[in-house]
Amino acid sequence: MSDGPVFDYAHYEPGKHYGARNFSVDESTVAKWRSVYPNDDDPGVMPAGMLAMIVIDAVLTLNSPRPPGGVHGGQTFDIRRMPRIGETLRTDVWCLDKEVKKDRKWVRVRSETRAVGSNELLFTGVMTTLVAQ
Amino acid sequence: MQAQLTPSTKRVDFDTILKYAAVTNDYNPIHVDKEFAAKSPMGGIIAHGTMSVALIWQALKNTLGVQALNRILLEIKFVQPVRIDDDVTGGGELRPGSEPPVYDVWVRNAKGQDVIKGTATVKPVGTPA
Repeated sequence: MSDGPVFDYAHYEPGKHYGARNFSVDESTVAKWRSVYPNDDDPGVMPAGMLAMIVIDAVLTLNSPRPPGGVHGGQTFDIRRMPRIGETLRTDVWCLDKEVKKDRKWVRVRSETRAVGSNELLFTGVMTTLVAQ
Repeated sequence: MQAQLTPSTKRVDFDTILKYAAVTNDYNPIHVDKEFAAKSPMGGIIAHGTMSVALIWQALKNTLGVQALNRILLEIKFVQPVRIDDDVTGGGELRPGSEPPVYDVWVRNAKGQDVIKGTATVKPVGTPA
């Protein structure tokens, strides 16, 4: 967790890039996932349920510290190719936009996840959060 | 294209929530600390929202095959939390006449209430993300 400014509503800047986070789709991590979801047993391909884990890990790490009480409101995943077991992924995060609607503070964060090495774009997403402060 | 997604169900007990927290490294006390959660506005433990999203992906995979996942645009909203010892089911229905095909997808609790709602679009081959 960083010692920088707090990621409250005021701090987010639409268009700003907040860095990147790597994630290794290794056998041990997939095995842990499969201990929760035994049906996610397709050989070679990462279980699709892990897509959310990758995005949230990147966003929560790069957009820290945050005030308590935030609520994950929605999520999109636009897939070009599912990651494969053994790949290392890099997820970049930007603030897409923010708005106050009916006294509620909403922030949308955009992500792009690529394969490290080839830089192949694998999937993109938008995470919508209700920010408490 | 199949009109109904083959559903996928999961029992969300506390042990499962703790395992999910360990896999995702998300130990938000609202998910793992019963005492904290009881005093929170939620009034008790709630499961990670993304835990249930996995059931929509499984339903899509069960129905369309794992290769089809490479062409999915999934857009979902979290409607209400999932409580301990609830059974949740992910599924969906094809919108008639939609082109490209769009499934209205959902995750529902044992009472039949939506906890997640959204759409899954099966993009044509070669569509950029």
